[in-house]
Amino acid sequence: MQLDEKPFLAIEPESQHPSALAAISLACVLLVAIKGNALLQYWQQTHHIFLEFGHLPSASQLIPGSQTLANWQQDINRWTDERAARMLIAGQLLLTGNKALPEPAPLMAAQPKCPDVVIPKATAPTCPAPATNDKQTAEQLQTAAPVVANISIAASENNDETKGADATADPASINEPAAPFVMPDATPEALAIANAPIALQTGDRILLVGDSLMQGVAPHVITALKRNYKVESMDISRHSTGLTYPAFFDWPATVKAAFELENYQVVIVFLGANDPWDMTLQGKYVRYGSERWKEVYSARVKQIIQTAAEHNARLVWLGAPPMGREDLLGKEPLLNEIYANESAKYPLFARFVATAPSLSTDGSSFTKFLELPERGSVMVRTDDGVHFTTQGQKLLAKLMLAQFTHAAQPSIEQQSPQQSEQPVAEPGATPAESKPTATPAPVEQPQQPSPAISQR
Amino acid sequence: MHYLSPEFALIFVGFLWLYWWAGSAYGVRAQNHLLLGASYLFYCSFDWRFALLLLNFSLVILLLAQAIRTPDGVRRRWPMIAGVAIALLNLGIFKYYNFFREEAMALLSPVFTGASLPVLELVLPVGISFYTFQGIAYLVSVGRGEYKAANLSDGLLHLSFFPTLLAGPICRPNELLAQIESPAQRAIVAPEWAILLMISALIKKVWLAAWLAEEWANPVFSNPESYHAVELAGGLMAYAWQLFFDFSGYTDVVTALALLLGFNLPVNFRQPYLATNLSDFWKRWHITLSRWIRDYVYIPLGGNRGNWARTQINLVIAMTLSGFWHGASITFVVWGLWHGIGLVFQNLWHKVSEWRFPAVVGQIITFIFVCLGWLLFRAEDWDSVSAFVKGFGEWDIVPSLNWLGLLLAMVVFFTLARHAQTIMDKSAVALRKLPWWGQSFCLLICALAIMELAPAGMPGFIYFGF
Repeated sequence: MQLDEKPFLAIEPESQHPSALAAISLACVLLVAIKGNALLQYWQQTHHIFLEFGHLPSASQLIPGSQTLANWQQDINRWTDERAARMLIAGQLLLTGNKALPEPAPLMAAQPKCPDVVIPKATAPTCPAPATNDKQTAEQLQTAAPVVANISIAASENNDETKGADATADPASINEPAAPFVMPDATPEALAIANAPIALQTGDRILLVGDSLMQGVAPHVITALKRNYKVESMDISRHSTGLTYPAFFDWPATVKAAFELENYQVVIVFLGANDPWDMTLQGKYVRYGSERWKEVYSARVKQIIQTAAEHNARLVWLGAPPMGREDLLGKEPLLNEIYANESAKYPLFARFVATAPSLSTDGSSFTKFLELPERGSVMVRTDDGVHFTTQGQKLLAKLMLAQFTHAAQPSIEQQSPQQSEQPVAEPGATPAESKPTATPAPVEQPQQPSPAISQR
Repeated sequence: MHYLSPEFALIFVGFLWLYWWAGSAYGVRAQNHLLLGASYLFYCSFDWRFALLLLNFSLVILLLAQAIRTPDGVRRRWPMIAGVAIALLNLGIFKYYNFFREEAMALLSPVFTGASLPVLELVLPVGISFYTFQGIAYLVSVGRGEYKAANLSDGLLHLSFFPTLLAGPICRPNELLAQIESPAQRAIVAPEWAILLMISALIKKVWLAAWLAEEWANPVFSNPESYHAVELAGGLMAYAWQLFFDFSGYTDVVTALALLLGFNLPVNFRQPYLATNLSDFWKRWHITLSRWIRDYVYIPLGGNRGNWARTQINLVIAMTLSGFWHGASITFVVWGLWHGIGLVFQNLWHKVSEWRFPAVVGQIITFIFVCLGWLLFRAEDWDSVSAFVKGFGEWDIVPSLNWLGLLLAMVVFFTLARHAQTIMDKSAVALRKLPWWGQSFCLLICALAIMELAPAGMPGFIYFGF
């Protein structure tokens, strides 16, 4: 706009502020009325303000024909998703030719055919369903592509129109009865292996979960892991999220959804900065640090760890760092205690790694500048007292990388008979003792046999 | 609390009623006092210490400006020089101390083992680079006799006016201060433009910039080693557009806020990616900064008054300083240098040859050059730059991003950019014909649609970091 070229001030001197103010105000009021619940959730998440207005009317109650609109929107979304998927395939074929097609699953075949690969009996997936239409083919192709960052997992985000103000309550999705999980025996040998650095091997997949702190660290970790271990990582971290407000973003459900989509051998979790706040549960105010709060929060931590354990994945839970922001001061030890306790309940799968010793001069308090041997005194935390500078992110990435080591490569001859004979998982086993996982690999991933799964 | 947050929107609407009521009841002076109070409260919402620092800075600048002219009408130079030095020192301490400290330590450590400079735990006050430059522009204008010193209240408002406080536009005194000082009753004479600019800001910032960032720029810049060369090129182009949508979206929203308060702000962007050469680009991108650099760095250095070589040196210095203004990082300095050297090459070409590229070719070359510059602008360090550049040699990875879709989006963006002004003008005419409630519904429907289309989360403004 070139306002400076428009001499409207001279042309029309009378003010139209009453109509302008009325227009802006009406739009604001209607916006608040329609998006009231989303607004309350936003305030709860960002300012930790609980406004108990009950359930505000949702958009569907206010706008006539909104169901039709919602259906249109769904149709449009589906149409655009289909087009995007086709374009992705076209783009892949254009740049890399047949290499873009996944191997060995014959996705374009008219008849269903099981992939001709050696898969341990216990982990063998069911034969993949035939590609019945373009959309399915596109989805499978998309899954097979080496997507390493920023997948959309909107399905796990909650519909803001249905949740109301009770944003800290557990969403219904998590309360579904889960299949019973049988904890393997924690023999001394298995424990010793579980406590050793996690063995990674080429082709393993790592899931990165967390908030904006993880978003900062993830790129460094992904690059280093890829370089050192040739493993692929999926960063699904999202800013402003945590475990206190599942109605805003539901991490246990999101992690579950991620595992349903693909299999991961390791999960790294780094969150907590958005969590030390009160909750409301079934309309009752639950203060941060109270027994009830700890109970609910611990349950959410447990859900994530258990999801990893059920899929035979190792989980590294990084402790929340010391915070310098006034309203967060001294709040992270309680979170870390919960993370450590819950991790300790799954010794063969989960480990808690405290970050404070690496980020603090005295091992516990907030430190903005750290003395690094190679660079002298450097700033590791940003001015907001929460986030990390690049140097700080690199320190944390180093801490994460210290949890891993190269797996000894067993030969196929050694591996296959064992895997086919022993159906029970022992995640802490070494490669030599490796046994197949008890949890079948997801049907969606038939083309990714991963002997590495059984080695942790 | 920033400009596109719901709390700001609600408070601002309430404030507007109070502001216009005060105008009709008590006049412009009352409106100015309200604006001054609101501006400082707004700044306090970030940190009250920021507001205190701004107050100190403003008082020093304003008092020195008043000291320039003696009672007998003589203009003195020392208050201007002292004011500029203090302003730069203030900026240097808060923005650049730790940069210089770490660089100096890195240089000193091999020679003086154990050498250490004191650590200052300083927080960079948001907007400091912008109000510092606006303060210098005011002081120099008074020092040169182009503008008379303002009274304290108006001067404080000029340096703290909340729509421009966080990221500009950097106003000259004859643009903003003149409107503050004007005794004429304030008016909103084009409300449709305010509404249109708000819609434009929502589309650019909340939808397009966020979409490009989430789908393209962030993944590709986070982990360049995992992407095909074509995807990296796509990511870089996406970042270029993200940056434009982000900052011009910000400019649109603050221009709309100012219009609703009865003020007219200077233009900051004129479709920069349609530029046919680099100097054209800098006449279209962040215009208020470019002209500040021209007026207060390039021309005082000698501008084009010396020989050709001297002019080019001045240009490189000015562009490098412009880069350094953006951030205390060597990558920003090199970004400025990149543009400076590019301008020198362009001038050299113009000097030795009469032949010019066809406009479209010029646009493509300029866009590619600018995009490569944005790589430096975005990168946190040299390792990131080198990882990205190395990635351009990677042609075997199976692409995982919809690069054809992005290409299509680019075509749409460039096409719309060509017609943006016409679209805006015609939309304004159409909107003006609607009654106030019709305008209101247009804003509402656009806002709802954008909220549906946009990725989740409250977007931060990139330029707030500068």
